[in-house]
Amino acid sequence: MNTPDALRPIPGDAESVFDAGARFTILAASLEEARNTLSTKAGAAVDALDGPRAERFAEAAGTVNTRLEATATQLDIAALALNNYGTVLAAAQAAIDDLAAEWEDKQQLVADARGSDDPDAVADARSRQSTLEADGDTARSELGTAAERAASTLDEATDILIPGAGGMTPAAILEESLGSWAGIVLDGRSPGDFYTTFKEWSDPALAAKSLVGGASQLGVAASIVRNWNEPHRAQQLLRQAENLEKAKLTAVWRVTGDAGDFRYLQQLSWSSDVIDQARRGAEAADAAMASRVSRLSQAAMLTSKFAKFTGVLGIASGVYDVFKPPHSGWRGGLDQLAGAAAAGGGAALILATAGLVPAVGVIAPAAVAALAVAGAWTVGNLIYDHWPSINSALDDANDWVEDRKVEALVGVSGWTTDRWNDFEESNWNPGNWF
Amino acid sequence: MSGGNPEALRVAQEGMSGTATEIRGVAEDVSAALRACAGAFGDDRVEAALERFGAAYGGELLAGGLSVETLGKAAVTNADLLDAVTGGDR
Repeated sequence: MNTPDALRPIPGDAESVFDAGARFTILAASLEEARNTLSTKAGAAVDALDGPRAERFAEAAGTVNTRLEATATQLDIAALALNNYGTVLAAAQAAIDDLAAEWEDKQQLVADARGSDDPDAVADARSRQSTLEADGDTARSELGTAAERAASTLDEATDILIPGAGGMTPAAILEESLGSWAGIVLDGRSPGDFYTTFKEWSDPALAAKSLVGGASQLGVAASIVRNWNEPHRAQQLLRQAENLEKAKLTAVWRVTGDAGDFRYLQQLSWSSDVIDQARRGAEAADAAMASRVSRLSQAAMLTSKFAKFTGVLGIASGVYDVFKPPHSGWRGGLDQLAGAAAAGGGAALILATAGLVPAVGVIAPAAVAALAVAGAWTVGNLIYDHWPSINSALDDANDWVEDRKVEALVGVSGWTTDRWNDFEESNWNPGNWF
Repeated sequence: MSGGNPEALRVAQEGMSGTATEIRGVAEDVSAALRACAGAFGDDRVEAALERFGAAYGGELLAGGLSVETLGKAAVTNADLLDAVTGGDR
């Protein structure tokens, strides 16, 4: 028997659709719970902060909170769409099954009536079969309408976000992740904005990074601070690289073949390259530090008092110096100028030394200049006061810098070495003052 | 620059770290739910739309997890900064 197309079984498993809807509902509830926890903890953090930093933290937490809440809502909407579609699917499948069974009965009746003297019975059966087929078409049409509605609902929810990695392009995820590694959120801001941001989110460990990259003349400070922080930062970067790999996997999870996919894939490719670069850099830094820690530890011991001071040097102290210069009189005035320059220059140099932000090539020279001037002044004072105790560690520091073999860093270091030589001969050098 | 409570910030960071893990877990569960019902719709349009939905919001959740981690790190950063500036003498 050839069952007509209208009465063929409808594919699908309504129970699985219901199960998926139920899981989505549970996930929405879990996400809401996580969101509430975040609100509580972020609120506690805001309470523990003062001034602009508290405001920025609250703003960032609020943004995340809103996004999570919106996602929970969309998960609920998806669950509703699935349940509605599952209901219509189950009903259509049951209806088609019943209609098909009756159609088969009529077909058997027609077969049995052939050759009999009851042509009306055959005609009635044929007529009933036509009606059954029409009912089957109606059931399929209703299911098609339900499917269209469910797909439309899901697409509308999806269209709220940029297709792909959840409202964030791979580049945006990369940027945010690197921003978190750096202790700041880059978010496409200008160098001027970086300055403001960095004042509020400054990190002594990363101030050290700026010293390392931007001022090889600070050889001792650089080596000591690296000795402090490099392994930790390398581990952080490795973890971030892993996070980025996860993000990439999620992003490539489904590429649907839409018109925008080409550009999307380009972004993915770019992100992948940067991720690999970041990972290689982190692994190299990790390995390099493991072999150098013991050698540098002696230098750290020799100058531990100086190291503690330089731990808050750079950006943190730059900002601090603006408000509370360590010297009085005319030296205090220069402290303030140098502090402001260090804060701005250091923020940009973090990007330069990371080597991961394209725009950094434009701003790095100015940043190096700012930091060199500020560093020359700030560390000039320090070196003048502490020269005997730090001189013995200088060779180790320079060796470390030379061995690093990071192209961007070496380029910056070369430039700043020249500036250091200029500084040594100039009136900026405290050693020439007396 | 020196105001604030480093210890409270670190406690908040621990909570945010756990929250970030939970959010990533939800993202993974979204993927699992989609895989479990793949092919169950009997309609390519619904299946394709749900896949797009899952990819988008799975990524959104992942990004959310990263953002929460960022907040947590910022809390620790600020705590460290406060300690550094004040020498831990609060």
